[in-house]
Amino acid sequence: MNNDEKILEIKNLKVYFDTEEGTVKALENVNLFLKRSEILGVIGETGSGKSVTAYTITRLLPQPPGRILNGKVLFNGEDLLQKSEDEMLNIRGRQISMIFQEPMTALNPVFTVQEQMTDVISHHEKISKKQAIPKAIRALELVKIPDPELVMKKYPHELSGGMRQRVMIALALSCEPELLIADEPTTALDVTVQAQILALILEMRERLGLSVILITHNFGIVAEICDSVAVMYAGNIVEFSSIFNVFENPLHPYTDGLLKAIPPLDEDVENLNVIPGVVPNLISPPSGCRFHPRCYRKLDVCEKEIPELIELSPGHFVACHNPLGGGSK
Amino acid sequence: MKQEIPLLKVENLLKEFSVVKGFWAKKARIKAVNNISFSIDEGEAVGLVGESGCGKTTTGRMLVKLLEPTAGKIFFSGEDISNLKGSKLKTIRREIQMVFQDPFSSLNPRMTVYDILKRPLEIFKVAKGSDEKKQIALEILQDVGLKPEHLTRYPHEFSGGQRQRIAIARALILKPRFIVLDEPTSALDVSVQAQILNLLKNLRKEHSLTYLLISHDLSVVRFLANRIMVMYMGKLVEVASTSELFREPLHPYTRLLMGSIPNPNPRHRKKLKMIEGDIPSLLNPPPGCFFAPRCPLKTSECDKAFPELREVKEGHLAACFKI
Repeated sequence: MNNDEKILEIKNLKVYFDTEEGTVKALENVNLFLKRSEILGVIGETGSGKSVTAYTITRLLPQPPGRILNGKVLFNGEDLLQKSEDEMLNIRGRQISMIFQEPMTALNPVFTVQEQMTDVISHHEKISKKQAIPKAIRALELVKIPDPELVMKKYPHELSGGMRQRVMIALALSCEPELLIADEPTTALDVTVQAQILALILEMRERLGLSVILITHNFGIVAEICDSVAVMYAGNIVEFSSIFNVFENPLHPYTDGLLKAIPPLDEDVENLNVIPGVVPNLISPPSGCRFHPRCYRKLDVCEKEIPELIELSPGHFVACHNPLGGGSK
Repeated sequence: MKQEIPLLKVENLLKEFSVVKGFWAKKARIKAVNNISFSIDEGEAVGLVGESGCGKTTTGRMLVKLLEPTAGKIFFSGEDISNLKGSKLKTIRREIQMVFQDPFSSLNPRMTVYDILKRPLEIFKVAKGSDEKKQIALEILQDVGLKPEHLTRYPHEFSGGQRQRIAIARALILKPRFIVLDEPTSALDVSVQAQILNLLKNLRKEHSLTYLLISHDLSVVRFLANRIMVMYMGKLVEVASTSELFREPLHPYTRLLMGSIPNPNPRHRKKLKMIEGDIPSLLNPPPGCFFAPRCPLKTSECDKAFPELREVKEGHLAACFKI
């Protein structure tokens, strides 16, 4: 298999939400791609649009209030935004799976693990629920659940948070999808359990050749398991490259500021870098570059023109009129 | 070793909760905080770290007298405050304040910032006229980085970071000596977290405050605290200065914790391990050391008794037989 093949490519995606207060310009112009068997981190603060991006890819975006105004989501070259709901039912779960932040709300509380897993497997594989049982057990074994036969009989509330998230992953992987979208999969978990789940995602990539989009607000998680990272701010991708490029040679002032705002684990510092101001309201976002009111490298042009995401150096994309490390473009 | 009386001293603090267990509603008792002892000197910033359910918030709530301990003693400035009631308790409350995790639920939505800030002044009859009250409120607002015009606004008009500043202002307005910070930044985004952490660090210097910082995030604790206590299932398992603990964590649980935190440096990737087992239930704790079922150093000794917290090196305490 060609490793450079793009399994997913998002082009010029624009998504708005109609609310009583006005139109929320949630995604303005999102461009990114994911290579096969790669783990891509999508990082951003609250309201940056990372979850909206995920929900648009899987077509789980509620419409209305959501509106897709523009863009393409190419999955293996085919535009998912042009698919019918019936076609999506077969793609979701079978080719693209999603796991969520809170496994307690994603699992159905009135059904046992077995009922939920065999339901999904029998639907996609067109086999009976009885035939699906061994497949379900294998999926639970895959995610290292001890005593899978026992866990199959349990209801979600009888499992710990970490076990529930493993069941979710088993469920998501039971039909061997090509792409897994994980939306803050460890935010509700403790760090020692989080480490287990991250290790599991890495192992699934190794064993199944899975491609993963990992949505998170935690730079540590991205550094730990991702190959590339897209930084989102107020509905745009502001920087996108390999993790080494982004962590060691950030080009966007927002990425740079954010990286320096994290309290370091391995050294003592007197003061943390602060990005002044707050994330803008997306009903009336700032003109031009949406980051310009908080930016210390702001030029006059930043207020007027929206910067395009351009490939400033090979494989390193940035949307900034005055990027770091190379002066003005 | 210091000779003076510690600002806060805790002896064999115990908190039990009743829980209903199983379908037949059998009553059971769990020890959320299980016989812990520690002391905090004036001017220290001590971090209390651990995972959810380890008892760190329960400990904090007992210190600010929001929860009654089941047993044990709390001394503040040498005075036993464990069973204080009425006006004596009120005097102590002025000295000990708390900042909560979620600034969206810790501020009354129907009160303006000024109402929120003047309540403590009224309760403790600190200021004389309304001019003086306003003056004190304006000063504290400036201290936490808010503007005078914010005084007449309501909590919903502020962002999460600004709300946490209001909560900090409320805690500081009576000029307390000791503040319990319960996960003060875990509801905030990274860029806002940095603002609040800097603020807390500077306020401590300017007002010579003593902090107990409760957090699950070791990087936050490292930034703010000069000493760290690690808690696991209601027990303190390790206590050391921040620099010592990061240089040489001794307890296997502390090591596991440190080995689990994702480090934002892709060149220093951890070998994330799939350690087996979850945290055991407090309803049914292991017979000996609570960490034994997950511990790589475990021997038969560990199943027999819980190891006492003892001084392993000067100023470095750990509760483990294997160190």
